[in-house]
Amino acid sequence: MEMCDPNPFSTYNHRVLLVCLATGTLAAFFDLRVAFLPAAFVFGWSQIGGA
Amino acid sequence: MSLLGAITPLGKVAHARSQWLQCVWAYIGSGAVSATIVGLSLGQIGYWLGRGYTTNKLYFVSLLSLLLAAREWGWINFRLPERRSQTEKVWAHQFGFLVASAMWGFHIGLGFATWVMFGGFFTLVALAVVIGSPLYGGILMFVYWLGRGLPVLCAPNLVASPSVAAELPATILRTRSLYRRITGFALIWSCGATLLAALRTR
Repeated sequence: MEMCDPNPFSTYNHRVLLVCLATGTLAAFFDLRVAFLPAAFVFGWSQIGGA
Repeated sequence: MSLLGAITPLGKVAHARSQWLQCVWAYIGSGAVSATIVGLSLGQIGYWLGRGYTTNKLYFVSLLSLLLAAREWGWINFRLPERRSQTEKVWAHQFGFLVASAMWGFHIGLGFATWVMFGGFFTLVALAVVIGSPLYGGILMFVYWLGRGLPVLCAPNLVASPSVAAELPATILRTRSLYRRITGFALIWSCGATLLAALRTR
């Protein structure tokens, strides 16, 4: 029987991580300060797990 | 504690929807204010310590990110310098949900006032000090807070019923290791990004 993941954020966790870090990586070639803004968003998002 | 468990069920009840929305915006808005104030302060401290990021400062942030990543991946174990307490649930009874939501947001937005749990926050703190710009520190912590606040805003649209919403914190806590790994990935990225920047400033 297939089990459904009850965490409603599970669809978005990896997308947030990948999109933010990809954006940050592109920005890192130009400006470190801008690059860290998407990473900051990821750090904030992951605090869901400390709820 | 976050608003996920406290008020997400309100967002699933049609007649309480406007109350839920007010509470969420009070939470996100007040948290944005306190997070930005903390970021501005960190940037100002960095400015006083010496403006501009040097190679050595970037190596420090890189090493710190690596240590914190190792902690999140379970390779090493140490306590974060955090205040081991949650925000005050009793505020809801003392002040009502709307005011309490604003107070919770402000309290949690301070960052240092409650559990931090994962190490990413401290990389941001270090970076805000190293960059030494109050404006940048404020923006950095504001974006961090947006990441914390957005799930609270989205949650009612992602759960099926008020009863499921009430169980949300417990459901998420069962997958805490996933968030630890996500933080670990982002910390390894931070290590690499600051290392790259350090090598470029040499």
